[in-house]
Amino acid sequence: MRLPELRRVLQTIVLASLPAAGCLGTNADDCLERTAQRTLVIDLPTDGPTELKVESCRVDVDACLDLCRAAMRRAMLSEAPGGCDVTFQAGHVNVDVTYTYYNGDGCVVAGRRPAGLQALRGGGGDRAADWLARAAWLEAASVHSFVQLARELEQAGAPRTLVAWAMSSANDELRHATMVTRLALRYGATPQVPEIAPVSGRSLEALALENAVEGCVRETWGALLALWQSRTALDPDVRRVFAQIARDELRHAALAWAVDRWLAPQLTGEALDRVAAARHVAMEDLTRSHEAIPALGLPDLNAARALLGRAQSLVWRGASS
Amino acid sequence: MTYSMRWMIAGPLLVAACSTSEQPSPNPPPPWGVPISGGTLLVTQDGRYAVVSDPDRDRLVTVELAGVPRVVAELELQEGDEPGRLIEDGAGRVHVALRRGGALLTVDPLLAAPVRRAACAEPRGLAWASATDVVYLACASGELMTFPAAGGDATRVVRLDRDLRDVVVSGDELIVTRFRSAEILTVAADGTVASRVAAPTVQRAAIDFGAPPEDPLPSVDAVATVAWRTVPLPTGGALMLHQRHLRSALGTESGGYGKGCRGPAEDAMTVIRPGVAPVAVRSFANGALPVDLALSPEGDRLAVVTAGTREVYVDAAALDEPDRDDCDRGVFPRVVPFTDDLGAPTSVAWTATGGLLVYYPELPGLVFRSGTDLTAATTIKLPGPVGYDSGRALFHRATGSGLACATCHPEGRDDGQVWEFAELGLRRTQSLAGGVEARAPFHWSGDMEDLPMLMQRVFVERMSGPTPTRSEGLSLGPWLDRIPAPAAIVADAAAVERGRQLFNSSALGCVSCHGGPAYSSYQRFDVGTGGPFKTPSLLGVSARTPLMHDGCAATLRDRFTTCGGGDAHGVTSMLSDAQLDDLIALLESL
Repeated sequence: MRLPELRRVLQTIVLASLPAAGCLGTNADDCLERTAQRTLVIDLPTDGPTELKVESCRVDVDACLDLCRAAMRRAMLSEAPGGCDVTFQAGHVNVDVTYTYYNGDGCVVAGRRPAGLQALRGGGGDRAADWLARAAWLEAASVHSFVQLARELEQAGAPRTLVAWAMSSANDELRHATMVTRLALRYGATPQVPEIAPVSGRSLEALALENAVEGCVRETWGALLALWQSRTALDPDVRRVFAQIARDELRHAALAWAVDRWLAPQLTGEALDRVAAARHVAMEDLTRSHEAIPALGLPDLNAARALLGRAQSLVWRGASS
Repeated sequence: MTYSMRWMIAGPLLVAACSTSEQPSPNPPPPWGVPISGGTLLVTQDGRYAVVSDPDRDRLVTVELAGVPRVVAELELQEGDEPGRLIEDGAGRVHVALRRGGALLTVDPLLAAPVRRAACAEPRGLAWASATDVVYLACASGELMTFPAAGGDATRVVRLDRDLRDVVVSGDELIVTRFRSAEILTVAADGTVASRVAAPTVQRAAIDFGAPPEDPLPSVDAVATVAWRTVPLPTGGALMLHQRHLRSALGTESGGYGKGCRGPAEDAMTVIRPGVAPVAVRSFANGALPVDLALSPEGDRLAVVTAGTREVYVDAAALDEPDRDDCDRGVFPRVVPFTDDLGAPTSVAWTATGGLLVYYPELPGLVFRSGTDLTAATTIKLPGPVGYDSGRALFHRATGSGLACATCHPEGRDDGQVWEFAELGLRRTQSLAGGVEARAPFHWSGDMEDLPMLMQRVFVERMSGPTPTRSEGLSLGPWLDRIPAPAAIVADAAAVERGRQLFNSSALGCVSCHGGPAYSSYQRFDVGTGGPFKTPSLLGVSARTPLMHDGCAATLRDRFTTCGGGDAHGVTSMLSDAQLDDLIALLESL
């Protein structure tokens, strides 16, 4: 599937899967919604970044969102403010926030993983922060994925455009890693640096298998998820970052399909069957876990199923048939 | 005073709602600040003081760096002076270019005994020559002026070209840069231009992700533009920090400005050495609006601030490392920038002890970084209230395409570039100076009804920017409208007057479209240049070449000779060369 068509299809899937009402992630089967209210006090004078936000909020109500988010970060609250009331008083500022948090388990982190990627250690902190740390770790790992892909494509005599496209994608992933790392740090998590074990020369079939799983399925899912997050995340910073990521991930997914098209004529019929089977297994794997985190726009189980179902019928099955 | 602000969030949407007891004004505050120019921070040679030009507040501030850094002096300037570059001479005097004040200000580091000397209309770059103890001042209005450092009027004024930016002393010669074109002039001791060269154009991989693969990989020219800052190198010559614009076609669809590996613009550095062609070297900065750089006293480290991404990049000064296309070669910028969360940084300077100072005008404050890895950071709050303008902030903020508004409209003007649009053809960047709100509808073809529409179609969709807040939408236009048109040049008043008579004559018909105080009706006309286009204002027209919608006229004269629509665009073919000179003199004076 080429880029313009892939972009159109994925945008259609997201639009079709968005709920009619604005409220998301309330399915009792998979997440427990709680609303909390806190009064956060900022004593004055304060540090430079906070002072800038306090004084900007003082003169423009539209600037107060930054202050509310900063106040929540200072209080180690990773959720996005659902409502916020700022009151300036002598010597301090009161920030009354309401926010929604969810309970749930599992993990959906999308994107291309390089061969040789070593398992992530630790975790167990705040869910949104943990998810962002894992996402940043995976974005950084994806840099290696695309460098590796470019090298293998070059060695296999692929068209120069495919090689450069892969390198360009690696550059995108570096930018994504930086952006998501900043978000993770803001939420209080420090992403790990990925460790990649060396990978020796692989066959064209091995390359096709990895491309089918990591690219055609996971990159496509990553693009779809990022598109969804860019529209539904409660945190506007997350929406902004994932809007940028979605744009790039669409290209990465299209690259995977372009690599798939280039490799296919060079593989035997049996090898093509194995590639198709691997793609199917990868699709199924995506449905086995999920995590609803509304601050980050991560869908609840119903929405995730809707997205996956439409992607399976409109992208993956169509491509494999 | 106590007051309260409130809003509610419904689902993923932010909605301004009612407030409680005391409410703020529903409208954002009045416009604040000027377009970012960068490079307004100086650390004195003895390492004792940092002197800050604050162009947004028209003042100078001095911070003593010994011990715990503290503010020791503040000097209020005249409203609208817009202090910019600073340079220190051998006697410890500090000279400041007043960008809109049209003057050279000389003070001591504690800001005592200020002396103001009349200069040009648009002072920009400064350099001090130790051999002759003079201060050179480069002007955007075109003059290169020489002042005795100790005081007194200019001893020499050489008229070069408009849009001069920085000046660097290199042996007996001066290196002078031009802002929009990043052109490099070498000026001999007698004031003549010894050479004039463009910064190198380099090749960048061009990848159309929607097209079938091509082999070999096509490439496009990446042209040097917008020379934000040029500083001297210890061994002679200079280092120029600038942008490059990639000559690949832009699209009007969503994400249309973000094609290719890095979008249509990138950060760049060019080394200028005496007697040899300038060399493009590898840039380690990777953010929008690279407005200032500083070379450490030992010459081993470089710092770059990118105002659009609000970042500070520091890396080894590998000035012999040639430029390369990171996208094509798979070698990526490895520098992780510092971010201080204090708004857009505009200036950077090294201290004598290897620390780094970064100026943030909005707080206002300096961040002092120390230690071998510069991770220990202290904020030095400068006096005065926070500067806030959400329109100004939006104008300078990087988007998903890697561009900020100010990338193509540096300092609120234009980058002098002609962009190719897949659907529209060639379009020259329009200057935003001299008032924009009255010009609606916008763009050459007038297809953008108003500023909100333009922000949605261009900023949000093509540039992949965030949807502006209510405050940003309300603030941008009034803030832009404060940017004045470039200064007029009147070299020969009599010629200007003769030109005015021609301009106003019914035989030429100029005023039928270019009438009124802005010299434009802002209506669309087909004047034989390829279709109906908006009539541009003529205010500051000589400062924004190339001219016409497609940039076909490199100079004002070209507009009347090589392109411009002929007599369908004002009846000028019967003018003599002398009359044309007069008409051009008038246009330069607007």
